[in-house]
Amino acid sequence: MMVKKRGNNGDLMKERLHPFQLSILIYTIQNGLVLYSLPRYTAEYFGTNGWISIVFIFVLVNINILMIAFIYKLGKGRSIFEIIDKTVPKWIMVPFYLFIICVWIGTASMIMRLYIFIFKMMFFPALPVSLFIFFFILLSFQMLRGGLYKMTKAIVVLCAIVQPMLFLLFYLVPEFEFARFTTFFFKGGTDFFKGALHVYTAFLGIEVSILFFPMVEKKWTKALFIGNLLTTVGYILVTAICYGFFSFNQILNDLIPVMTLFEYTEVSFLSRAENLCFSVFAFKILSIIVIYFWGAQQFLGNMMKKMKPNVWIFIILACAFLFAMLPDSIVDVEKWLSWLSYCAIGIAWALPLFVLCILFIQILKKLIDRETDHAK
Amino acid sequence: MLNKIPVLIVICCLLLTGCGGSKIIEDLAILEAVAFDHTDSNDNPIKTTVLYPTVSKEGMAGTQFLSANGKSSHETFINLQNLTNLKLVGGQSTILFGEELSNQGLFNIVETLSRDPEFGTRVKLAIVEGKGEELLKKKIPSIPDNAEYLYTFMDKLGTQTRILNTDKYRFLRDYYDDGIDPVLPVFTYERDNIELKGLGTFKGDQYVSLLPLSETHILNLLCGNVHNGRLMINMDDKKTSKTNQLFLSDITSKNDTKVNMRKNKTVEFILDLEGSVLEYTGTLDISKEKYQRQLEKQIENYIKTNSKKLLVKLQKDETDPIGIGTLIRNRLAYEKWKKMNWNQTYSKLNFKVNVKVDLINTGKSK
Repeated sequence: MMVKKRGNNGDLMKERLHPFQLSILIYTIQNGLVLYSLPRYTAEYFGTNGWISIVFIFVLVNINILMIAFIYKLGKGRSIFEIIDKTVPKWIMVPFYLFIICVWIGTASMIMRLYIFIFKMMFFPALPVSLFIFFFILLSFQMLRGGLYKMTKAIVVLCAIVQPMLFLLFYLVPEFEFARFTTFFFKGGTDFFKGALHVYTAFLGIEVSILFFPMVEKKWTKALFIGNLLTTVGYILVTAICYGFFSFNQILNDLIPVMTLFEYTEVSFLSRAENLCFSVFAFKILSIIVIYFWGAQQFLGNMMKKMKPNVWIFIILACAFLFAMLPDSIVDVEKWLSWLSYCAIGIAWALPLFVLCILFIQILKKLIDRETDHAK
Repeated sequence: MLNKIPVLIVICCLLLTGCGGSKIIEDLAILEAVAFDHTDSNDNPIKTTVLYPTVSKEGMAGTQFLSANGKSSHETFINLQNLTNLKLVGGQSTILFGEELSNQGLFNIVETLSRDPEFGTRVKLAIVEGKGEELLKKKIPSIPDNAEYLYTFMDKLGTQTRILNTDKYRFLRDYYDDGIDPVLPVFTYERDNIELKGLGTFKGDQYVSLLPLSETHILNLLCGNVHNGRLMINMDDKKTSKTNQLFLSDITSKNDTKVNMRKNKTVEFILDLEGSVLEYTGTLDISKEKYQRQLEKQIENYIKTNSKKLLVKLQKDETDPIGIGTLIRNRLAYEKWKKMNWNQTYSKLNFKVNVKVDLINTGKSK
């Protein structure tokens, strides 16, 4: 019965997410904005044929997901708040929760702001930023009010609008040449560790799934792996095409290589498709930020259960709006975003590890209790 | 009901966005062609000429030119803005570079163009023998709009000959690649028409040599596989001491390149060519198989000798539009490639060309 109380509205708990919807959800909420610069990041930090690094990061992300899956199994589907609250007093956790909330809201705002910056630079240089932010916030509000179940349904539809853009890549095949890949592997790069962090940020968003436990069907964890696999395949496809389409130094000198890639597609009914692609991409950005807001809302809701969920939504969105207004140049946003993303990576690893530790302690305790019972 | 109101507000606001940053086509000068030239002045070394379409009140379409000097390409644009009541905006245009400017290097200008999102990646680039400005301003009775003419001209060239298919993306790609040099078509306005003169090859971003059209077609064969190509061949007939013409059409050629980096550094081109003869002015009776074989040998020799001549010419000018550097790079270890003095290695390379020609048919007549 405890489970049913959590969440936005009690009735949401009746319907649980199907693994298929979930895999689409996972696929959509992973930070796709990084994809636009991913070829450059991989080239900058890993050097020639840097796209292969995505495979290594994919393995790392899978280990991260494995931890979440373990928690679900060991915790028998209890939400992480129940697990933590059983062993650790709430007041100790409050600063950590607040930190997570800040990082998540901050990351979401910065992703939104970076998207708006690029959008403005490319297409509408004269429009005010606040208007864009306002739209994102308004749409986020609409989605958040629906709770996770309705949100996922909406996200699946949004994803269906974004994904067909990938087919445009086929038009670039005539320009593709394997010779540009070079036969060198990871040569000329500068910093593998920093590179790994940057590439990892492209997979972020998945860590919020640790809060999904009460709202999903059994055996949902496979959806995490499928969603992540889809993301990786998409990333590798786009990045590898970039390496065969551009020369290596050209990738290094292009701020957003994937934008240029889509810019080059020309079909008889459509030229300079990057305009359409990037505009439609707003839906993916919306999904990413909404899931972070939702995560923050769950944490806040858990800290003070008496408050109405709508109040939290207002507070979160107001904070996000203010956060997003802060930076005033792309360099600024990128700096903020990279620091927040590093924190988010830290959370993505530390939170599941922490919960796993607690679970082990609880299991050990149970075993000891049982033994002492036997002894008696 | 509560839900519907915010949705309505969103929809209304979304419609309102149309009012912000509007661009009214009558107030715009959409650049069809831009020409950059070098000037003799030290203060303002770059001269930019733009051409955009205009429509008069009577509905007559025409074009207008504007020229301005400046220190950099964008400064000239700012100066151009002061010469017109319209707003200049970039489009899917053609960009011409004067010969002198091209000799000095084009990177700064092309880089500025790629910084500006208004100029697409498919913007066509070309070199003009003489001044780009003159070409844009040349009045040719049959051509109402030089810019449009050039754009469609280059479009046609691109579909016919692979190597002449150039745009901003390809130029920058080959410029940044350390194993290949970019190329651009060269136009001239000397005679009554705007005319394709040949292919300009670059060393880095500097235009170094002009390949006439006959060499351009040979280069096209050396650069990769060709489908539906054409080749005009002039063969000296030793017996009659005359030159015979042969036109090879519908060429399908496969290009295989072998690199040997041991003692004698050699690059070997193996061409396998198929085509049909549509014109032959020589004395051989080419309806007979025996003479066809003979003719094939003659064509093979022609391509072989001319390819070698071309390769030596490119070697001398230190330009590598074929991408021999790429081939060699992909054979070597990274450190060895980075240590290599490319210009020195390139100048010492030996070339071998092996050609095999098959004549599929000799046209309709016997």
